[in-house]
Amino acid sequence: MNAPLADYGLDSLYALAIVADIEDYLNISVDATIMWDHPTVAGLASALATQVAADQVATE
Amino acid sequence: MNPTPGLRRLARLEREFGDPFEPDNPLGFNRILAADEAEAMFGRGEQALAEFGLNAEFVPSRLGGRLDRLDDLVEIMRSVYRRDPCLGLGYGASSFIAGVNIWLAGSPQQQRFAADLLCSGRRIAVAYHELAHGNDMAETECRAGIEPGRITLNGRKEVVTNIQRSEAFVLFARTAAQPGARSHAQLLIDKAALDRSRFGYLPRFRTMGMRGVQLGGIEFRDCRVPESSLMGRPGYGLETALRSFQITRTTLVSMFCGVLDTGLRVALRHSTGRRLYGGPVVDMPHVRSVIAGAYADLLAADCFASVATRALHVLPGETAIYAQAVKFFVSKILIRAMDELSEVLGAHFYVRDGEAAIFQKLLRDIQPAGFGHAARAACQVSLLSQLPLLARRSWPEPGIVPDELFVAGMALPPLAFGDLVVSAAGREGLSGALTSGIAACRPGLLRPDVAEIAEHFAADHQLLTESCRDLDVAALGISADPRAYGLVTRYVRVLVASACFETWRRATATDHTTFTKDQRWLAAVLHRLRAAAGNRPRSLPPELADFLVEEAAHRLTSRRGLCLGLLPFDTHRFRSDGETPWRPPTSTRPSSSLGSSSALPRT
Ligand SMILES: Cc1cc2nc3c(=O)[nH]c(=O)nc-3n(C[C@H](O)[C@H](O)[C@H](O)COP(=O)(O)OP(=O)(O)OC[C@H]3O[C@@H](n4cnc5c(N)ncnc54)[C@H](O)[C@@H]3O)c2cc1C
Repeated sequence: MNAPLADYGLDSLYALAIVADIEDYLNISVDATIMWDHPTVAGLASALATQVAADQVATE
Repeated sequence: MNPTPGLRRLARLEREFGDPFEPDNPLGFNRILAADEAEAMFGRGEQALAEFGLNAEFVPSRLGGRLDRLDDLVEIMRSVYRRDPCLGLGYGASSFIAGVNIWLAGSPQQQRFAADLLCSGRRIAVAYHELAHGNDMAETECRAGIEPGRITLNGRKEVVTNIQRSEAFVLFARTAAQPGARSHAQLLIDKAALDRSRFGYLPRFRTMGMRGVQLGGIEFRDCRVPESSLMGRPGYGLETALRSFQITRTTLVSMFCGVLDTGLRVALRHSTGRRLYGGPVVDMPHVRSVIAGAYADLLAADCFASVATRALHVLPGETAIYAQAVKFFVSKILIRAMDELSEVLGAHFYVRDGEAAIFQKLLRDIQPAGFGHAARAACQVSLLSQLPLLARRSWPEPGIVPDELFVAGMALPPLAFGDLVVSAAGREGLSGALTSGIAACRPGLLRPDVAEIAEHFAADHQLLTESCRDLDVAALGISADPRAYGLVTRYVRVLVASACFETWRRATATDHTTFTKDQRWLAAVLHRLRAAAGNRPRSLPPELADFLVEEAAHRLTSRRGLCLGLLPFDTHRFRSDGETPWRPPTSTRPSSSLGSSSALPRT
């Protein structure tokens, strides 16, 4: 969980595509570079959870 | 139309350099070849470019330079590349790459410093590359240790243009140990401020082509630089690189169109002057077909690259896609066209003396278009992971694309470096514009072949949409199945077809007769694209081959450029009455008129 995603063979450009895929999957909107800023699975999950919560507040 | 200031400067450059084929021209091919044989930069040429103030072309006008429009810059640089790509890269373009990084991420003081250097004719090198890591920029090892009050450099950069003879350089360095995309920064380093005992230059790297370009390396040993060298926030270097490279990947590869322009001239002059089997070589249908095909390829390259160049002004949110597509497509089509033309020259392309000698140099010099500044395959794979997003987010909608993308010389919004984004996030409108473009044509306007091929690509766009939308993005990274790469190739063909179709369609709105408005060039480009897509002959139908060969020959004798761009090389005419009106070529095949033209010196 705390290993850098780069260790899974994730190159930087590819990480950008994954982010947009996550956006479509979770129906949220996040910074294209969120995986650059949160380069571990644990970090990314918590950043996404924060974003989902924020989006819920915004739409309520 | 009145020439823009950029095109006036192009006319001046052309005038000052004169006809490169002229044997006694001190700035012509004979002298350029002598420098190449000596593996040296062409000194007289550098001097002439210094007098012209070429480096000021790279500096935004708000900083006192001449850069307002990237398409003008490309035209000016093509005029250098069509003579000597070593001058293009080794005098000019490497400072341009450095400059774009600085205009995008530098502080006002750094921008001032860089602008003053370039405007006074000096150079700024750009040091990204390390032999150990090639395209894998994120692995950069050369380190900038940042502590309060000082930065310390350690490590080396290799195969860098002008690193030794530049006054300053942009350095891409590691600022944090952890892997990933937030561990780098660019620094702008004034060499005058470096302690000479703390760095050294590596021996020159010798090359097969671009022989004059001075490729070197630099090694730092606890070398201090001021804190003010840092450009932007540490950690944001890769982001800056990916944004600024959208400008440089698009424009640098487009500059190489000048090389094929000369390649076509050499092939045409040679095959017109040489007689075999009782007639000029150019009258052999096969030879005409190869020359016409190469010309069609030049037009496709020029048109697509020009649309993408204007997109940097008009649609900066989408150029993360277009830049990769241009680098992938244009480099290959130019290199392949040069290869095919070499067959027309036969042994003469291999001989390093005589009128065709410039060809072998250009054939070597053009190769870095395919691997320099990013490998074609790297661009291709980066588009691959975007396909599912594009298929979901953009492709089903009709593409909305402003006229400014397609009409040369139309006013463009100023270049906003800050608007370039690292990811287009699956949004682009050019590919979808083909479908709406076809629908907007009144019945009967399209030639049957144009209609059929354009519809083929519009239909393929739909097929791609269906087959890409549910692709598993997890399988599209660096270790993707090579068979999937073909999807990118198909997608990029749709982009190119759309760029050419829409460029032609916009041209039909003008009153006067222009080459761009003539549907035959579009037909020729589409035939070539369609053949590349499979199961069709690459040779153009004779009617189109004749049209293009006659047009190329006409431009040769009237000393005009071969691209869609506006400027005739015949700068006297250009000065007196603006753009020369275009008339469709009239002579019928075989073109013996060409063979007897006194304006064509014989080989
Ligand atoms: C004339 C010249 C001038 C130069 N000037 C400069 C300069 O001023 N500054 C500077 O920093 N550098 C400069 N360079 C260096 C240049 O940028 C590098 O040579 C270039 O980045 C490519 O390195 P490489 O071919 O070793 O890369 P590699 O990464 O080793 O690529 C080799 C091949 O591997 C494959 N490949 C690589 N990555 C991928 C991928 N992601 N997906 C699929 N396939 C891939 C491709 O087939 C690629 O062609 C210059 C080079 C030349 C020749």
